[in-house]
Amino acid sequence: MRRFTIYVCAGVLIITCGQRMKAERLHAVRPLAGYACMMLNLTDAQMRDNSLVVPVYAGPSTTSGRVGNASAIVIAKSPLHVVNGFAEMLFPNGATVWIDAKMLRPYHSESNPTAHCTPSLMSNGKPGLG
Amino acid sequence: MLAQPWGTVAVANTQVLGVNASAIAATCVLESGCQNIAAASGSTVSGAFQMTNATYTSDINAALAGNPSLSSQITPGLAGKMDPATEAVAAAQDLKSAATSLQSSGISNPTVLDTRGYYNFGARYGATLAQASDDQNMGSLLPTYSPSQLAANGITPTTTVGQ
Repeated sequence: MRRFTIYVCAGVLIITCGQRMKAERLHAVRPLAGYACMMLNLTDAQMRDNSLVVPVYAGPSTTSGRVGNASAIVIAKSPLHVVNGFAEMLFPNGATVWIDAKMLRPYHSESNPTAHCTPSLMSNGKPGLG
Repeated sequence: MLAQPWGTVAVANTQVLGVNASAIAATCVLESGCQNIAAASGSTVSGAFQMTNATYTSDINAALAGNPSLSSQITPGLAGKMDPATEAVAAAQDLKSAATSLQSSGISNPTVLDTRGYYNFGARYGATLAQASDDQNMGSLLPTYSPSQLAANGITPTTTVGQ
């Protein structure tokens, strides 16, 4: 199913713009040194509540400009780099963004305590989870 | 999906929202085999697109708000959930919301599979799955899910994204 790609043209209209077979599956190329996986400090129910969003910002303040919303697992600078209560992290598009440090907790899988998560440079040239 | 008597109407309805036929057909095939399945006891998940009452109501209202002309094409109220051509509109709205949400989470080029992750696991986990390697297992990417919650979604902790 990863084979079908929808091109993004503008906002939501992307889905009308067509699709193509993906050249290759997304895979990790190499680990990203200096980063670690962390997860949002939310309950399971909160994690799955689409109405609850955790914003990320362009800089370490709410006035720096909101860039978007955090996903469940984030790629945080390691050791954690906190300025003004905001932690530095990598957004999936490669941008450095900042998140309220209180919204982060160490990565841990309920279903598999030995599970690992490695921040990686992916085959699409962007940061991801390998 | 087009083999179903309601398939052509479903495609026409969803194209009004700007969602292509392949995306909506993939959702229907994976959710129910494009069969109009009634809700199990204690659940509101039903229809060819297997939506809950709450999700269906929210999505169909959003779709109609953005596309008032659709109101004459669909079955009104919750009864629409068991009319596949109508439920397809709500499912298309969900996929449309998925594309927007994934982009807000930094996923620049959402794929059909990425929107599937959103459809099944919500916005936050949808974005997580979209940036994961195909060989990563679901137990590590859905860290707050218990083994029984994963089983309820037809997967195990070691099921990979690519699977």
